Amino acid sequence: MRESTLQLINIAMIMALLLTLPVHFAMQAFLGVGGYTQALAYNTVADRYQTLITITLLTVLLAAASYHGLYGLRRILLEFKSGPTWDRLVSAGTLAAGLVILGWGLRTIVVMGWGI
Amino acid sequence: MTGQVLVSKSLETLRTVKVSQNMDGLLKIHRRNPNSEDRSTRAESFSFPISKGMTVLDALLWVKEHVDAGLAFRYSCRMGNCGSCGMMVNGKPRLACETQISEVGNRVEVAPLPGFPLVRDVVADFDTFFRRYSEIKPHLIRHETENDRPPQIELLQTDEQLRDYYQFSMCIMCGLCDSACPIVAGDPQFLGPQALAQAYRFAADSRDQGWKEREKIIDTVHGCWDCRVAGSCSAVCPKGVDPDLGIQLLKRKLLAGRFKPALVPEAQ
Repeated sequence: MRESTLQLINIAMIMALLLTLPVHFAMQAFLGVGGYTQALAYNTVADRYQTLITITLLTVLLAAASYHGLYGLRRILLEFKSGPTWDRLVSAGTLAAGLVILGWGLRTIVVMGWGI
Repeated sequence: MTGQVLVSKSLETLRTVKVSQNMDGLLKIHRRNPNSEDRSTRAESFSFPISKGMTVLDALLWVKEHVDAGLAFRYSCRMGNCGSCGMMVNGKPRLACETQISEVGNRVEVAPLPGFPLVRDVVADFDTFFRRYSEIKPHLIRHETENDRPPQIELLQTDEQLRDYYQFSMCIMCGLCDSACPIVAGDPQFLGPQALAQAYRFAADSRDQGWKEREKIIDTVHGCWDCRVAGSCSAVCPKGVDPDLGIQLLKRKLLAGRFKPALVPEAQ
C-alpha cells in the first residue's frame, strides 16, 4: 500500500478521534448514568455497552486510536534502524499488533453489548 | 604580527612561515584522511592575513598556497554558482566562497559537511547525494512515442506556470540542505531535501509528464513522508530555495491526487 494511502487513513483516524474523544470524555465526566464519581464503576461501564450509539462510538474510538497509535509507533520504529528487511518487519509487526488489539477490543464490545 | 608568523600544526608541531602581511585571522580546519594510516580527525590552526572582502575560500586558498599545499578542499566558480565549496563554517553549513570573513569573525573554523562520507579534509563524497538525485528522474519526461513528431516549437509556459517551480530550479546541488537535515543524518534511505525539492520542481513543471513515474519513488516511507518539517534545509540554502516547502507541496499533491486525479495537472 502506498504511504500516502496510509497517511490519508491516519488523517481520517485523527478526525475520528477529534470527534469521538470529546464525546467519550464527556460520557465519562457528566453524561454517564452514574455521574463523575461512578464513571468507572462496573455497572456504569456495562450500561454504556447497551446502546447502539455508545457501541458505535467505542468501536470507532478503538479503531481510530489503534490505527493512529500504531501508525505513529511504526514511524518511530522505522527510525531506529534502516533497511528493507527492518521496514517489512516493522510494518508486519504493527499490522499484526493492530489486528490483535482490534480483535480483542471488538471481543470486549461484543461480549459486553450482547452478553455473549 | 608582521614579517614572521607562527602557524600551529597540531599541538606539538609549529611551523614558521615568512610573510609580509598582518596575520590577524585564524583558520581552524578539521582534517582527516580516511585512506591514510592515521585516520583520526585532527584540528589544525593556521594564521592568515585578512583583506577587505575576503571569503573563507580565499583564506583556504591562502593557506594552501603559503603554508600547506596538501590541504584538500573543493571549489570551482568562486561566486556561489557551482555549489562545490560547501562545508561547515563556524558550525553552520555554508558555501566557503559566499561567506565573508567579516560575517563570521576573524576566527574561522571549517569542517567537512556532516551526513556525507569523507574523501579527505573538508572534501565530502557526493556519490550517494547524486544517486538520490538521479533516483527522482531529474529531467523533463515526455510521453511522445516514436511515431509522434517531436515538438516543432518550444514548449511555451505562462509566467504563472514558470512561477510554480522557478525557485526550485535555482538549486545548485551544493548539498548544504542534506547536510543540515536531521533525517538524512539518521536514515540512509531517505531521499533527502535536495532530491525531493527537485522532484517537486519537475512535478510542478507544466511541460513534464512524468508524475506517475516519480510518484512511485517519492510516495514511500523513505520518500517525502520521512520529512518531519524540521526546516533546517531551507534555513541553510545559499540560493534562497525552500526545499521544505517543496516537500510539503509534494505531500499535498500526493494526497490531492488520491481524491481528484484532475488536481494533478497533465502536461501540455
